[in-house]
Amino acid sequence: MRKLILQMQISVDGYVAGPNGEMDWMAWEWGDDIKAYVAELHTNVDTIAIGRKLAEGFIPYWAAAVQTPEGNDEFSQKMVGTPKVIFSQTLTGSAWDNATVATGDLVEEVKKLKSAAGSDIITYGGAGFASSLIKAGLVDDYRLFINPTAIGKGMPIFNLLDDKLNLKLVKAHPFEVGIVALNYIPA
Amino acid sequence: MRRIVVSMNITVDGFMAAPDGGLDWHMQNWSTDMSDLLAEQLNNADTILLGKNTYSAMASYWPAVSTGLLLSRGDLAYATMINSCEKVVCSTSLKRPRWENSRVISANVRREILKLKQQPGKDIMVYGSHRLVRFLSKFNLVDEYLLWLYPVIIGRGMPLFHEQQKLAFAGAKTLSSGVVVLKYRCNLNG
Repeated sequence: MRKLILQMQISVDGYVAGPNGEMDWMAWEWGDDIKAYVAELHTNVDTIAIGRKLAEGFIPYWAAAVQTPEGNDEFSQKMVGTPKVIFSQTLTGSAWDNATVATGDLVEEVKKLKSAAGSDIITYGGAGFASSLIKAGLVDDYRLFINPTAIGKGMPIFNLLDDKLNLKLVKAHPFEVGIVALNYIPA
Repeated sequence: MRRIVVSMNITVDGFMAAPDGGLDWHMQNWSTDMSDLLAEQLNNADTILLGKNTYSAMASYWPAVSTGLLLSRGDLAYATMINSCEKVVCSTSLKRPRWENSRVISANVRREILKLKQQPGKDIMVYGSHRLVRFLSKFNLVDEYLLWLYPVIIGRGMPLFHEQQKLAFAGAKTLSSGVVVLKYRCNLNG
């Protein structure tokens, strides 16, 4: 079974975005330490699984980045070059390069993807998609990037859980920018 | 000006307690290196500021425990320290605090706390005391958070933060139980 990694930026009070999807609270001045950590995390990734809403911002963002001299680095190329699966109930086909659309039941589609041949799958959300994955117990490896900000209210990813979820800490990685990456696996 | 340091146990999803106040996730992650770190942190303080509930729970435990023989050296050191610290309790109903070195603030809480901050001394430590922390945070009186992040998600509960607030990350420590202690400074402009 392939491993599903969830990598998300999260506020110190547990939100992944503001009430209207705001992302202006995140620390963006990444140093080399956090860049190297994220690159390392992607070593065995061959598939990106994301929700439709996130895809609409994510795919054009990286497609544009590789067109600029300063944005065209190894990581941007990896983001563009890695095959994507977009989860949607509304799309009928993919308008993007290198992306397929999964329109069936989300849990069944992700299970199918995990049991197919390949190496690690990574997801970055969005909030709704991540919540469903977490509720269904499909996440094997959590990488929560705790930002040094409380936002008071916003979009959670753990609120669909019916029961307490115990985790096992693998490691906490603090970075210069003030973000701490917490790596957990389900206990 | 003395600093107010809030030491709080929280879940990965940012809650201090379950919706009903439940804290059953605390004990499952206890480890002996916790008491060492608690003692190290308390060493920078000489005063403990508490709400009534947390005060009552602690007052019924620590005075008795310091005479016991079952404690590890780390726990014993912590017990001696906490008993000798000044305890300031914010409560309108508590009349006679029994724990040694305790006094009660029952009115003009904000002014009394400001006065406390202006007195000479070491840090002022706050443990638990959910309502008091909300009050302190509302009036911008917290200088530092020590967040004991437990490896557990509870889905719904009592949030620690209610407002937008930028923090400055000041260090992380990992304990053998998987609890990560995150240190953040506030009042970044002052």
